[in-house]
Amino acid sequence: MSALEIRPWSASEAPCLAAFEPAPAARQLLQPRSAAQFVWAFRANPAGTRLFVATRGARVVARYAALPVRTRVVGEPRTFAHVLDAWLAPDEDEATLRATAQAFVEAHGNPQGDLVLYGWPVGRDAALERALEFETLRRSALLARAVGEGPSTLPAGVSELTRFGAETDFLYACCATHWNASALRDAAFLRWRFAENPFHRYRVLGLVSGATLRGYAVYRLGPELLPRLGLLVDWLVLPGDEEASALLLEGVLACARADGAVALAGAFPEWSAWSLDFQERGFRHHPTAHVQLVRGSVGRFDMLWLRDAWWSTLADALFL
Amino acid sequence: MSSSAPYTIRAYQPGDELAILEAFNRIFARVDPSFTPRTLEEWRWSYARNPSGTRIQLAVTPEGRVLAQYAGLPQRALVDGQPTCFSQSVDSMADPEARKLAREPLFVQVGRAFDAAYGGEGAGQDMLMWGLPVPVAYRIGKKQLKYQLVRQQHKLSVALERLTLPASELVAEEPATLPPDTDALFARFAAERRALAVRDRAQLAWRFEQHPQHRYRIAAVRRAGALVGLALYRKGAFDQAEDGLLVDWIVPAHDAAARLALLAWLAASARAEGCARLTTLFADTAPEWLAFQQHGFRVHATRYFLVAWSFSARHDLEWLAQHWYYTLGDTDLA
Repeated sequence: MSALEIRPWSASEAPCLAAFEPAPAARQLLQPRSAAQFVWAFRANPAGTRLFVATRGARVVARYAALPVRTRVVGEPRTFAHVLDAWLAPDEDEATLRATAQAFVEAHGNPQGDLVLYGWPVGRDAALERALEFETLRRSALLARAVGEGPSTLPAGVSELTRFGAETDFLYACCATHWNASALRDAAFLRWRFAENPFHRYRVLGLVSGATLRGYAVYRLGPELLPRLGLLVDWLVLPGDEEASALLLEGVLACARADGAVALAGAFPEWSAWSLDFQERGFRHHPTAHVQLVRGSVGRFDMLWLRDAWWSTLADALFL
Repeated sequence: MSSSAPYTIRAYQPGDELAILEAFNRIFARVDPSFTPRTLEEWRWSYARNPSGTRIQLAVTPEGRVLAQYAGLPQRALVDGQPTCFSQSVDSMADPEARKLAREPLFVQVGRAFDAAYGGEGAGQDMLMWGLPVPVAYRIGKKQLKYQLVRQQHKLSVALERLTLPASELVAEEPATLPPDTDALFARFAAERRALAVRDRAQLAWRFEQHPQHRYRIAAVRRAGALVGLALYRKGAFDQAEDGLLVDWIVPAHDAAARLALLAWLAASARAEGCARLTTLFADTAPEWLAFQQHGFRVHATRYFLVAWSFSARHDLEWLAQHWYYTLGDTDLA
């Protein structure tokens, strides 16, 4: 057997699809199957590349990877990284995966690197990450309601955004003042996360008044969660702009009807005013079986801080 | 430990209570400006009279001074119908002046002794230990003990004018004491829940009727003479708000008429006591979580988070998170 080498994959290398082979009985929520999908995940991300591979000779035998997200933390630019399901060749020992994960966390999970690593691991990955000092942040919940009868065309004033520019950056800058931590939802992020996403097709709805973007909502059908479920993937509206929020929600419901969805689901932190607002608009709070783990690279950015500080939506689950 | 050791780690012994109380009132008064000293009567209710037992480990000096405590309130419990025991960790403390006596924090030492003495699935042991710790205890506990988050504990709260209650064929009444057929109701209720603390008459009487500080009101609803639902209520402070609190709830999930009758009684009681809201707490996996939302309750974040550690190979925290039924009355918060 060739010697084991564990190393970061460099964005200057050819795409390494061998590290994303299907693995029996292992979940792969985000699995690049083409060069385009691989490039989106590990070369085009405006926050950078986080991919470690273990090789024996020319053969990839393990992979530990994440998708970083530029995140504004108490006004400062940092990164969080969404750890993906790990992969291990079926004939390789678990110790190889542990060593690969350890090398990844040492390289990126430090105060100079990603401030927070997070994910929704299951089974072997969850045990591995708990051993690497990940802790439970929450059992993820969804706000969901029936789509109901109504129009399947966008309401007046709501349109699909096809380009993202300074107006997006301004909207995010205004909203972010309400949060101590949030993914930087600027034009570069929105282009990468939604417009150029090779895994899913999203509809980004916006409400524009003059030159001002008053809010946006991102929708797609999410059959991988439940048949005929529409997903409110992201939501950015200035708190208090009731007209914008009502019109954007109408628009999202119209998209869901057009797709034949019977229910619509999204997620906000329970402390957010949007959580209560959506409950008043007919959404109900449902638990899920998905457990979110986090690992703060600095002691104070732990579960307790993240629980109260981090604005997150389904968009932060980068496989959705 | 040698005879010159500055302290001993050991279980509570009768006679320790005055020293425990002295330490409790001394240590908590330092960190909580609103602290009210605990009385011996309150201590005896909590620890000596609990029909489920006593769980206390102490660090004690040769002179009998208590330096640290790790304590729990045990709860007889049923898991898949089988009797077992849980315990809620409460009142844990360590004297800051004793920090220099040990390399390992005394809180951790008494915590480990607590786990070793009481954790397990045997007789007199707790298969589940849980708590709603303060941040500093959580941060130590997750590193040095076995604390693991079960869930962020949200509350259900409704402004009384937003409560939507269709009329019920049943009417709830307020008996002066727990009904004699409480155990029969609990048996039917327990049959539909896979994990819960026992709510028999003895336990409820201790928890609510004999409570040394609070007066709880009982609401009961009957169908053809048979008790079909029981609720415990009081006005009080929870999560920095003064609300009408639904503290315990023993109502089979399918019995909508009983649920509606009790909620109507609770709303009327809260209104009569000048409350603006009715507030309660369930696991989000309990059927009540969604049912109460349909009646107008809304989910709100609280500062509380539920941690636990299981001593059962068959029932890990994932299983318990799915199946464990608990209410505000399981906690020492109301």
